[in-house]
Amino acid sequence: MQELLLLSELPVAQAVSLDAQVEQIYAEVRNPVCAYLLYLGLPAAQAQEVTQEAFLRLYQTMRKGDGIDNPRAWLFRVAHNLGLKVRSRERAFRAVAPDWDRFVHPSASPEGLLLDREKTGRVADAMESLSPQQRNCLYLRSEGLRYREIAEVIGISSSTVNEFLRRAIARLAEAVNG
Amino acid sequence: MDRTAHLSTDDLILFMDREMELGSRAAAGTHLLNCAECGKRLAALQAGSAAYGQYHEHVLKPALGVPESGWAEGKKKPSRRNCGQKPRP
Repeated sequence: MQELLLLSELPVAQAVSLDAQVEQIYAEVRNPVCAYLLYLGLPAAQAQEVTQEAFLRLYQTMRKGDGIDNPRAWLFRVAHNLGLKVRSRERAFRAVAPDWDRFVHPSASPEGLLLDREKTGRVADAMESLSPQQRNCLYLRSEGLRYREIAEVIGISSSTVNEFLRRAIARLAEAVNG
Repeated sequence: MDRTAHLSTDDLILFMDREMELGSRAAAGTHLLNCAECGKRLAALQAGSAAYGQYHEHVLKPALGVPESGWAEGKKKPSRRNCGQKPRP
């Protein structure tokens, strides 16, 4: 309730600009955040709800005037934490680790077909040999997060992120280069 | 960083990801210009990283099937919650 009263006290121009700002962030970051939650193993409906919740928290935080340096990393962190909470609450969840087999041979994506199947298989095999946290680090790195930001999202130190990525990339290089 | 010794895998990955401090990055860059062995190892790591990047974008993410939704649509939910209504089960 207090939040709503505060919003009504904001000058109209400020509120509009905040809306526009969040809408722009939403357009850019919503799908990557939702995809990350699906990747963590949340069912689609819950991934969608958690994503919305993360954006609402962003909206409320920005409305309070709290500065957020990097909304993308902030959203990944909040969504990750909310996602884990939801996941631990729900008993009827699928396995924590994604089923890697379903990613090996793409049929839905035409771009996926362009990727050499043999190489895809080797990458998938290498991925399977990594720990869930190593895979999470790789995933977030590919979403453009810096090591420090990945560390904040997952709740580990930057040096551990560094270590996980070193092992993961070396393993992938080995698989790809034979 | 020892300029004569080969770069470690750690250093090569930090260099590739632009995660090195500026001074160390410059030293590593200089070493890479003069060391074919480290250049080759860096290229192999870049190939591994690029293969994952392609996999990430063209295989993994499309397979996740992200459901569509607009910001305005989702924004309505909390106002109901803030107004004292119970969230839907």
